[in-house]
Amino acid sequence: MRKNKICGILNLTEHRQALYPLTLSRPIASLPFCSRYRLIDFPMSDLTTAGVETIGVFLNDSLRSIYDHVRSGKEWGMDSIHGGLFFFSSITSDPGNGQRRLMDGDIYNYFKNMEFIEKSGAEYAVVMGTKMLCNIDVQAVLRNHIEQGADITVVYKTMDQLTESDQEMSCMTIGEDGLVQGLRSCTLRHSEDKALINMEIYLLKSTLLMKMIRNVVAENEHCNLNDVLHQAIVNLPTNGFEYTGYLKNINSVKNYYDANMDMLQEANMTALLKGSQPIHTKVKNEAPTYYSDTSDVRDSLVANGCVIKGEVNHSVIFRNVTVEKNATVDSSLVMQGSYVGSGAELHYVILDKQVRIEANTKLIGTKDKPIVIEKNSVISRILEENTGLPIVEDTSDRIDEKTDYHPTLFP
Amino acid sequence: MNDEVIAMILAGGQGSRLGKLTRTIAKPAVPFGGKYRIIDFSLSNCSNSGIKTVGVVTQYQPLELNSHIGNGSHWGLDNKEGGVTILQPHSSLDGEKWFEGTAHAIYQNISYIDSHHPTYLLILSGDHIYKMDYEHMLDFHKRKKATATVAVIRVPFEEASRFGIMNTDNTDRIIDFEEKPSEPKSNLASMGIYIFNWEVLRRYLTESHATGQNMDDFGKNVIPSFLANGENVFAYAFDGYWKDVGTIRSLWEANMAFIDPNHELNIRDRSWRIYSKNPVAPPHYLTGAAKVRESLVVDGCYVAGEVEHSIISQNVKIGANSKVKDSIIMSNTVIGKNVTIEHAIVGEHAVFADNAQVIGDQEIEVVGYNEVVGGLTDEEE
Repeated sequence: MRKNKICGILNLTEHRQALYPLTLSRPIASLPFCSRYRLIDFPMSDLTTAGVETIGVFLNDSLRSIYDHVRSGKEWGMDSIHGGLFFFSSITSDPGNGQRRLMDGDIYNYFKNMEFIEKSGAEYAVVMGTKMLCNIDVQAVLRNHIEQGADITVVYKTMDQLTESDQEMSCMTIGEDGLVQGLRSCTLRHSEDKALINMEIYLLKSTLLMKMIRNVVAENEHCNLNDVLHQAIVNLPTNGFEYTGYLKNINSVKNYYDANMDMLQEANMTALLKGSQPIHTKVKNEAPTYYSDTSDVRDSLVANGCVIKGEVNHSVIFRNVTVEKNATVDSSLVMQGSYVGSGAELHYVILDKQVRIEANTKLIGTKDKPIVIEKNSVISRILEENTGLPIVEDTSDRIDEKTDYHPTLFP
Repeated sequence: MNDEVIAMILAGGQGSRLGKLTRTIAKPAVPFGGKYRIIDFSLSNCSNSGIKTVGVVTQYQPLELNSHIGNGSHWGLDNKEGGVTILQPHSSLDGEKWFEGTAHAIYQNISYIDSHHPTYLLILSGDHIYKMDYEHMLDFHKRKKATATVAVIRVPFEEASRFGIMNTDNTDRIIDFEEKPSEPKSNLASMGIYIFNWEVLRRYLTESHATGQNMDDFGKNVIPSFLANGENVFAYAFDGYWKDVGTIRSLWEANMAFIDPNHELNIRDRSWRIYSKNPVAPPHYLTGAAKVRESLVVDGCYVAGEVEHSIISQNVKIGANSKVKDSIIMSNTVIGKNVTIEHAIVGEHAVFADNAQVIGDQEIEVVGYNEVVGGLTDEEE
């Protein structure tokens, strides 16, 4: 492949309210996944495996958590003399007018920074997000695109059964010629048919993409790049590329939880993480995980750096987690640096990073509504003198009132 | 750029007493503790001590070692100043430069050292498991106005005759050095770690070479010669965990002790991390039938069997009903079903067929790299 044939555009202006409180202070792209990854690792690895040397990362707000994770892109081989990583935020692209531009959609951010596509000299551009968790062969998409000779190629996945949370996705109809005919919101009404889910992965000529962005801005339309692309795949000859691997739309806490739990099944893990396209992530030098003679761990994924002395069942444990003696962690996600005190009991719980569950605390969620504990919280069981009832104390800075996910009380 | 101090790690040792484990790789590249190689300790110590320039002198079976070290980025040593340079013996107009000993290896690399213009030269061995702040030793060296400082550690008197023993006066000045004395006068053993004033060491090495009295070894030749000439040679007493894993038994013991979360090395201490090359691997998975007790497990493993008091390295698979006890399983080994492994060290990429057994006893069993254990013989088929 000629150097830099494709440039990558990571479109990270994804709606994240549905994942509160996990996304209160991070974009969806920074959500931790499967013990040691972040969602951004997947498109980053897919692009770099395909030989993409220039990637633009577009975000509406702070880049801090993304930048901290990706840094120079060294782990993905992006710190070479060719191309590299470029970060663009609406906030910084127009300092005087940042707030207004945010409301106008992200298109202005792309318009202001389009130079990066031009400079990369890439013939094609691939637009991807992180919400659609998958592991896709971008080279295969390019080959298919060139064979089919359409203006745009969009990636889709055929789903037999739609669930309620799939409704906000867009579904496509594809004609016998393999071209996209229409685009509509997924509805459960159509669920008896096979649904072709739009995975929001697009490949097109760089010049076409730049033209589209310029036209929209010239007409002073305020919209998002995604809207522009949705319109384009209906109006221009668009080829559909079928993806057959593992896919999860991370658009709710439930889906996020399920995606992690899916990795406990070997077939899913193999499809997403152990296939021919390895997923790279930021390297941390953690010690090996220690299992004490009191530990009892079954059907679980565990990262390096943990100290496990209690019981862990059907759970996903991230780096540097401590589970004390006589603690029980069941059907839960425990993120990096969290601590589960002795005698504590967790069922269907998501502990965000650096959460401390004090001894003998019980948190019991359900499969459909796991309890989410915010980053840096300390949850303790304190016997109230008057009533003798335990109360849950949440010392985290902020409790977001829009969310139902408060620690629940169980005596 | 002038570095005040640069380090030379002598990583050419064959480590022949490690048998199968050093047949194809140099001793410093032998895996340790589930995710490290022995040399990671010296390299991490350099990085944590703020040393920017490190020469790694290799000789014996260097392939694995070279690919492990790479450009030093895993230890944060890929800096603008000097970084890591791998120094191998090479031919020149003066003939072949095969390293005849520790000091000879330094002599052969004088031009590399000179190019960095160091005031002090830190000489390390790539063979030892320990955490040490070399900056403290350098401060000691400067405070004592020494021309050479030897790091020493107290060993039990009954073992002292296996080491180079330093006899000191009450100012820590070395007055006498004895290599493996039958009747040791002290128990201060040399750790093979030296700081020299480079200018002085350089003069000794070049002059001795010019007069044909080659100084090949620091312990045997250089230190005695320094003492004979009345140089200021001091002993820097190190008080901490230090292990030379030179034999199968000592390698096994050091690994087994390493499992203990209260081990003196304190591997989880984030202020003095031990870095290594971290390959890409998903988290490890323990199945519903797995039973893991008193053990270390790292990324990429799949455990369906029972693991007791053992170290399981990257990407190891352990099948159902298999049992691993008191053993070290190095990376990428595949263990089938109903396999029993006890008191063993299993090299990387080994394969155990179903029902295979490797049971060590007083002697630690060693399964070599890529070795296949068990399976049907022709007759059984």
